[in-house]
Amino acid sequence: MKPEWLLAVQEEHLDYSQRFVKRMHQALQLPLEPLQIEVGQTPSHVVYTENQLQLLHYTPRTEQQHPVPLLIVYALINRPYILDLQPDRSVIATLLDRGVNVYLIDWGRPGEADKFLTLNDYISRYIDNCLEAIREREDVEQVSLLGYCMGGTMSILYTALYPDKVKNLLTMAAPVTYNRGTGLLGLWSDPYYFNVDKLVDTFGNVPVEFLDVSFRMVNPVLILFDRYVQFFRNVENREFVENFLRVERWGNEGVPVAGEAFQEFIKTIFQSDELARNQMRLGGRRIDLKKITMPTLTLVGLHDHLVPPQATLPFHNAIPSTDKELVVFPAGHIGLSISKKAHSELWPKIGTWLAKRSQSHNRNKG
Amino acid sequence: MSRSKQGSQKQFAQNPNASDLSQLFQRSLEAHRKLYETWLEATRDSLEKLQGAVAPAKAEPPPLSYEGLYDLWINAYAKLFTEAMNTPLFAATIGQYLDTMLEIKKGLNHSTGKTLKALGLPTRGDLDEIYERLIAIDRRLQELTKQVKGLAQKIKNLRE
Repeated sequence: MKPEWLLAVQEEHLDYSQRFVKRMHQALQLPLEPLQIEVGQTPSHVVYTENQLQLLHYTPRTEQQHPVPLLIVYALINRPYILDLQPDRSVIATLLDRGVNVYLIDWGRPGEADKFLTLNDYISRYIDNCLEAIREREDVEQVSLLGYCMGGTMSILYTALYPDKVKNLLTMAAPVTYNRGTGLLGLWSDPYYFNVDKLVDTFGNVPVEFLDVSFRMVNPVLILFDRYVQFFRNVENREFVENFLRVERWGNEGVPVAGEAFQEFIKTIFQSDELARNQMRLGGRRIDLKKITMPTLTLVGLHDHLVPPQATLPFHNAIPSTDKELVVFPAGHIGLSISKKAHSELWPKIGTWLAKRSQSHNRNKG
Repeated sequence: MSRSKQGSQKQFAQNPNASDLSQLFQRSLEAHRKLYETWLEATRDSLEKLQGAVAPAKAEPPPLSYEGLYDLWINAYAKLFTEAMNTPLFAATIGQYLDTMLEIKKGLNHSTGKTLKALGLPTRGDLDEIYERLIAIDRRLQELTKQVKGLAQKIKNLRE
């Protein structure tokens, strides 16, 4: 072994030990510091409620707004404030800054009775009622839809059923198939291994712990171990620490999913591949992807382990819209909405895309 | 899973008693052991491949910092571990584990229900019946509200 190499190792050892002690000291100070970990700070107010659901309207940040409002449909899993995590990483704030009139559905926490709600209840009733409330409030014919994850799939289902009410459709990491080499979730949810009937029959609503473990198991080394190593490495960076804690808070504030809706979602979309094969039916009505002819933007995360691009692409390829754009962004499932890069490079562009297509006046009256 | 074991789980879920409970406890331990073994196997498998995966390309000098070495290791390990889990064996083990745990939970639900019934208290099944009716009434109300709104609009249009 060369002596200079030994010297270098010794130097690194001393250097690292110093850094380690400093970080440990900082980590021990953390509980004593007033950390800013508030979430969802963009001002909004409730304009419609129905059972657990609340429809939020965000206060405009520009003098003029584009005529076509936007409804954000979040997943039934987790809380929607990930789209408004902090002022400098807020999808909602970015869209408001582009003059978009933003509404969001906060599904709330399903109660015991909600286990009997079907996917059709969510699509044809709740989303439709929210959309009707916006149409009435804003006096418009059409509304744009932006759906994230399961909310993206629900937006697709809604748009296929009520195409005349949707001006533009934007989907973010929306799963439409898990049957074509789509990674671990696709394999684990195979009907041969996963009995969703038994899960729902036993628990009613799907427990948040079950969902949480399933998502973390998709990449346990990075999610359960490396994530915390990275936290320790950056413990002296206050901005990093606060951002980390906000994401942790979001991860720990998950909500259970209404049992019957979850069961239907897994069986028809994950296990039978009915949506990707364009053979899905909902509440007795056919979901026809060919009806999606409006401007559509499909956003997928290149490093998304939960909803890899292959899980969404069949949708993008199947729709006949002549104004459709596929955006493959180098981020993971959550990174799409909260990473620094997404906020500096992706969301301003999406805001511009939407603003351009929210111009046409379609007022009912005058 | 053998048929007799599956039968025992189903029997327990429908009508649990002390001996079934002990059998199910054993099944639970076995499911835990199997999951742990499969997990260990995935770990061993990925560790075996790790040396080759982290060997830097000949042209590149090895990283000298601890953090550089850690990064090299963790990325290779995460990739290999995910690959090791992406197998039918791992999926089957997880599926069987979940199945066993659900049978136990179902059995316990049933047992709790029997106790509540004996005490004259409403069981989960009783509540579910009410919930289901409540949701059905709620749906009907929603339909009627839509119809009334539609009619009101038609009347308004006629008047105009």
